[in-house]
Amino acid sequence: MKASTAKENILRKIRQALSTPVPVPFPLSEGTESVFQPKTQDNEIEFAERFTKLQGRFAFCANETELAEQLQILLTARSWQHIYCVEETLKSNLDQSALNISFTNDLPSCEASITSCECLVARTGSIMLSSSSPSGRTTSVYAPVHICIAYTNQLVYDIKDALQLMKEKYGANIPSLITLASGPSRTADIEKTLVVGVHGPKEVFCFLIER
Amino acid sequence: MTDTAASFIAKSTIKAADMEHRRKINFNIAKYNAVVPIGKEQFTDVMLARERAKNAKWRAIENLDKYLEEFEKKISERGAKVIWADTADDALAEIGKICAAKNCTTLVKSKSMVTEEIHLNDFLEKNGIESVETDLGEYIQQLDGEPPYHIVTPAMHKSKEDVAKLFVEKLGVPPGLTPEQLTLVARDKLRTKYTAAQVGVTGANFIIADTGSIAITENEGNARLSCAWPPTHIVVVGIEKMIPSINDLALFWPLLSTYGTGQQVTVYNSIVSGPKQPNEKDGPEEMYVILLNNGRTNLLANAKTREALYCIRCGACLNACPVYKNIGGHSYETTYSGPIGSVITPHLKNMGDYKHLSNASSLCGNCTQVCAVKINLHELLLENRQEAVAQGESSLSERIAWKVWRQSSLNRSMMNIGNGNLKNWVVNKVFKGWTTHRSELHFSQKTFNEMWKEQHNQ
Repeated sequence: MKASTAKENILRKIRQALSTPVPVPFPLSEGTESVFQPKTQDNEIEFAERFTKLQGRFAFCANETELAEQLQILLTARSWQHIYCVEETLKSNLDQSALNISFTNDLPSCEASITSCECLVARTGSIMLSSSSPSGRTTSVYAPVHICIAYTNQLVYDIKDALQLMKEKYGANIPSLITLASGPSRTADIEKTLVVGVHGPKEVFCFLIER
Repeated sequence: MTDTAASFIAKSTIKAADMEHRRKINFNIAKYNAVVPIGKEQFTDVMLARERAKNAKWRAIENLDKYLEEFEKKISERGAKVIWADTADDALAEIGKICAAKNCTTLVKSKSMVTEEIHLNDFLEKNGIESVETDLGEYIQQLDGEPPYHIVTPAMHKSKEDVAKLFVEKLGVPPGLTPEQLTLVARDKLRTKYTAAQVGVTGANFIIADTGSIAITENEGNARLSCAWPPTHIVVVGIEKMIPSINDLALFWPLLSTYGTGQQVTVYNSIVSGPKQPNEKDGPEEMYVILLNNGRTNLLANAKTREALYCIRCGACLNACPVYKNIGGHSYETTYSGPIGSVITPHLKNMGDYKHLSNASSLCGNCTQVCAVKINLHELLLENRQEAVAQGESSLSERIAWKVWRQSSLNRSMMNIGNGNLKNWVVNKVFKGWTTHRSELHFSQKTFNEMWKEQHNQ
């Protein structure tokens, strides 16, 4: 019963302390209007610009056929032989487009992983991923290269829109992990020198398809 | 003087004269200063953003009991277990129990100041568990056997040459590696640790009441990996990290990134709401959230110092502080250094041993100026000084000195006693405390009062 005692102790101390309330610091600053720069151009363009600035690699595709072509060029150029993808819908789409991909079932040894995403945030150039996808928590972060396939109707302007979308889609059953991923993994822990590619992917590709 | 104060003065005296240290810190902080304005460009009104953030933290803290219970209820429904810990020892004992039950031999840890606060690594080592720091900066510090120097940039005081040398000594890599190569070495060493570890430990930047979640902000991906591969995920978090709603992240994520590193948003901002759910592919089977008090309710109890609990640990006040930049993060000998550390440590630990930190400030107010959530830091330093004296934590000589000062200040004729030479002699030669670190004072020969009388023939 020690655990419940600790809880009671802490809550008692909190309630005792809060019996002296303090007033709201800035009553005139309350409100819901955005404090961020408003949208000035199409979400597609804003996303592409922001994502590229973060060293993300962006490609626009008019349709799935174009996606297959562009993906093929990438795979050939890099001579990737082990692609990890566990999303069946994505896989069968890619298979149908006569792509020559050799898939692997082993995430640790793959050269790149392919996933879908929840949505894209234009203002920050971010990809929102969640564990409700068959790709789960590990696929997009453990592979050395992450390739994300997204559609233009998945674009939102700001983070608050993305969070709202998740609440509407999942209600009380939100995925156990939601990540807002903005470009490749990076660090500046040594002399504040930017190094791209630490524990997460060194490269992130986003193929955005018109829909 | 207490031992802690004596040690602080000794260490800061040495560091302040260390020009190589100052060069490295100035170099790093100059890089930080260059990018923060770029991060701020995303706001139409950054002042309004900070004021709203302070209001949101105010709401969270003023209703902390209700929000903590709401959080516990929501995340428990999703299969996580919430553990309340009143002290560091309670938290360690609970972590020890979990690790024992999981036969844990290797544990991966992402960066977390609260685990530094409870000295988790020492505890795990004593219990025969290998604890691997996975954040690059923390990994460097762990290799060197040093605590983090800065709450956001743990190895800020090391040059790239220092790190290269350390890697040669500890990891046997060839000398002269670049930051890129050093980063790759760490990546390779740690990659297999994630998949081998039985337990992953993370902190949390935010506790979210309305969805029953915790949020973790990072750039490297090590926190994501630490709560993806190991079958057990333990979160250690201070109770003050509360925010009312998941919607608040849309403000707090960009604000924390801007003030922490000058980024628009950090690379990975994750929301964790429980262990792997039944329909999900991977993730930990079990998740524990340890809600730590460890003195935070002391800050809460004083209506004036309460706002120190609004801190989101962006580190901006450290980077802005002239004292921090001269004496460095380690001289404080506290988990939380810089202005915020000086404000909260006397309350988290005890006033007697740490009150000296509140005096190690010129009260320039730069910390308050740059605080992401507008905490009145320099006023809280004054508040601490006042509280220390009220608790009888001042020395006898200090009390006598102030008594004499008060008496003479209230008495015109006493202030006019003696000429400037006599006063100079008293302050500069009799009470040597003044001149130890300062040049001599020079009083005017006559007081203002005397001159006024003379000129007006009174």
